[in-house]
Amino acid sequence: MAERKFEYSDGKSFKFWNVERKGTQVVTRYGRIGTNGQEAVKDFPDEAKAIAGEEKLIKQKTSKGYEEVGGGGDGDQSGGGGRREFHFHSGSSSKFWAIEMKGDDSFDVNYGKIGTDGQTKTKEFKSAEAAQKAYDKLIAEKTSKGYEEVAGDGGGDSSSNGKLSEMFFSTTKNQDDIGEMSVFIGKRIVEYKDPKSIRKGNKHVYKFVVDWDSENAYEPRLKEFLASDAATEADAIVLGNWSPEPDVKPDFIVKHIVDNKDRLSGMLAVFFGEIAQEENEMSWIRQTDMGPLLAALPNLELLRTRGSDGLAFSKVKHDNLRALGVETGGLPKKVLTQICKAKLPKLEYLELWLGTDEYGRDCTVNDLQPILSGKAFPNLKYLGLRNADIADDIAGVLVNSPITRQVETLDLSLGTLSDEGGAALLDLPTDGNLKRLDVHYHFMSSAMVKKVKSLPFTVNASDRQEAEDWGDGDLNRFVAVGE
Amino acid sequence: MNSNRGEPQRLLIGNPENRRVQLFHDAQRRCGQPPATVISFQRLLSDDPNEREACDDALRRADWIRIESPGENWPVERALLDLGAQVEAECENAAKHSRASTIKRRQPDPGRLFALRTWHLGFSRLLERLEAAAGGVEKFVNSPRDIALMFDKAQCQQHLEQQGVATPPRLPPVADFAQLREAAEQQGWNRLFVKPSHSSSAAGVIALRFTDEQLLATTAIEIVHDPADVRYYNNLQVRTYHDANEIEPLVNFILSEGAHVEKWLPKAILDGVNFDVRIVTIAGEARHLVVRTSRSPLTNLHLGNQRGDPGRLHERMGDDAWNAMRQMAENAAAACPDSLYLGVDLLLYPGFRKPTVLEVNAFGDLLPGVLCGGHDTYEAELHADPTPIGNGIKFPNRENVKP
Repeated sequence: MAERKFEYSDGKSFKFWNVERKGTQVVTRYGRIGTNGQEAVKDFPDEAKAIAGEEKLIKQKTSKGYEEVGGGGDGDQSGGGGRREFHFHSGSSSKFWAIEMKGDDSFDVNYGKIGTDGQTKTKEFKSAEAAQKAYDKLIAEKTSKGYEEVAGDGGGDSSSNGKLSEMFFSTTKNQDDIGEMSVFIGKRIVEYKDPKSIRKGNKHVYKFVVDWDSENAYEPRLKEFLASDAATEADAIVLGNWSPEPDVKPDFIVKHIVDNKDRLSGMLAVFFGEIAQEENEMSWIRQTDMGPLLAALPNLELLRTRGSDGLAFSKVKHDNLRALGVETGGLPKKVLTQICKAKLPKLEYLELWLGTDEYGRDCTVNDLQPILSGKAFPNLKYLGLRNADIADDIAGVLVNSPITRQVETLDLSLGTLSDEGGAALLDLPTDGNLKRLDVHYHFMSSAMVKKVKSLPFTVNASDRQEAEDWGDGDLNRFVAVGE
Repeated sequence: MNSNRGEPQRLLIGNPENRRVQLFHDAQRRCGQPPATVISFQRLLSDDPNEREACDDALRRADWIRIESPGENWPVERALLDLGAQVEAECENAAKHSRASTIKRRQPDPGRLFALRTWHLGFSRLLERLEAAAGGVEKFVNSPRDIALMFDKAQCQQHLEQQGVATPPRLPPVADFAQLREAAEQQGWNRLFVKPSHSSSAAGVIALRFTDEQLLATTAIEIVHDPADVRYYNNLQVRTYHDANEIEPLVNFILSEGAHVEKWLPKAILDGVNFDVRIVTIAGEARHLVVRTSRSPLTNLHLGNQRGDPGRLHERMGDDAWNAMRQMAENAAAACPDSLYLGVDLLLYPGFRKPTVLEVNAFGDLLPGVLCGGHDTYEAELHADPTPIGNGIKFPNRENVKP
């Protein structure tokens, strides 16, 4: 009957969901991480049904991507040592509030406008119990007013493999998420326009972007930032639309990063091409060779790119990269081959958007072999082969591939997976590490979805699509309309 | 024929079975007019001299003539090809002679992309005949000369550009794929549209993309291989070809039929999909508007694409950009002052900027169900067109009619 806790994250939101069975009642508490959330109580006729009900709710949540977290250890709700910081953003008001236990019976509270040092007050109590109670109460007060907890400088929920939490690797769950990012690696994204954009304390990630009113501002802004102290402290950077004209290549961006590499040893994460559809469609984005970028940032743990025209990963050899996400509308074989040849011993997360042949996908399942055999990335825990019009083919070869015993998560979402692919997935090995299968946005029938969901993994098969029926080739011929 | 001088003789030239004719007649009735007499293209193109004489007579006596689209009718298309072949044969050129006889002997093959230039010659010849028989351009709602121009897209885009209308940048004329590739490289373009001059509704249009490794062609053309030859068909299912061995001959074929090559411009996005806009201008004013969304580079509606919501577009664009777009459509209309109505296709750049005219359509007013001020396109045209009392037609924008 103990409380079980679950958390969900994508690039935009961090949510928690806790469940506890009390006799014939199942109590859930849910909301944004860092808040108290809301509570819901469900009554069942007897204990057995309550147990089953709880299991069903848990399965629902996990199939949507919620993951169970250890009780207390990842402590977002329970008290703990270390400084915990909360931010409040509303309209133009950006405030921080931080609390840190000092010994058993006192704590410091530090608060003010984001970008300032604020004030610090120490509160002392008669007992450890009183201090803990006050601590919890203050946090609850703040979060109920809309303050949200932010990740510290590597405390709390980091993984033992590196500095970044693996929760941060996956940013684009759905097509709708493209261009909607407001948070990267758990920090709020702020557009960099000039030195006044810099906030104190390395709690933000700066994004570079231009539009028709500031067409030529990208390069000067980037140079200015890279020359500043903020750059030496930055652990992430977001490179948005570099020109309102769609044809412009971002080589100059790589050049400036490489030129400043000695100042950027703290860089942990880069999103190169965080561009909304409205700004520049994915297949129009001109990209560049990421090889020199990776070489210049040896401590980088996460690289995400969007766009494929001109993309390359030449001679990549990187000891610390843990996550690589490559979003494209059509992945060229040449690029896939380069990725397969990359020496990335620490890679635990690989997400490739293969796209359609209409937009330049000319790779096939054969070209995925080095990855599927497990040879290219023996430490992979997550493999995403997403947005693929060859989803069925992939499913077909996957089931016989060693990678399916190695990884914990397989992601074939956003593709054209149909019953053919679904049937193949039914043969996935169940005796390996595989725990999660994500096939959301697919074209399988309801019957097949049911079968896939009965696999002994957490399965996300939401967002079912209906295919168009084109019928016979010749019947589609038309005589010119003559307008 | 109605000999009552109070009611003008209205003539509608078209394919009687086509819904364009039905829709126009419906509109006339709603406006209290008797439906115009229809003369079918089939009669106009008949081999029978008596038929032709009767048609010429009707044209001469008419007060008001509307020419409708000759499309979607295989026998008429065939007849226009025959006429075009005759025109070609009139040049003393042996190769053209043999082509003419090839066309005459050909089996019906609806949807086949073939002899586009020949069709245009035939249609242009027919338009000339209509003008001659009617005794001038004044009676025509849309001038036969404007129509002929609008069916030669390369010429028409040039004309629009000269009149100050924003059009996509074009390559200089190229004869084959190799020249096209070279010219594109010189301009630094890696995305192009190859657009047949003498076609419409996306028939024969190829969206071409060059990347470092690949050549991609997205098009509504179906390629059929025979031991004897390769045949091309207009097919509603848009597809992408990757094989240079298929793409190069296809591009060469389209170029040989008359085409222009323009830069493939990025389109603005509305709620996640590409779109462009068809605006019908009537008497020089931007009126009916349709948002044509598409998930492929080809946005024509009959390819199964969806209509977008104009209200939503206006909201997203804001008034300034919306008005700029409508103004550009009116600029295009002003470039063809002898025509009462035009279907103007415009593209907007990402950010809803820089309205650019992709093409103007002589018969571009088929927008069933689209209303402006409570009227469909046909009613709006009838309201904008003062009824003649037997002594010619006056349009508000015809003060400076060029002879």
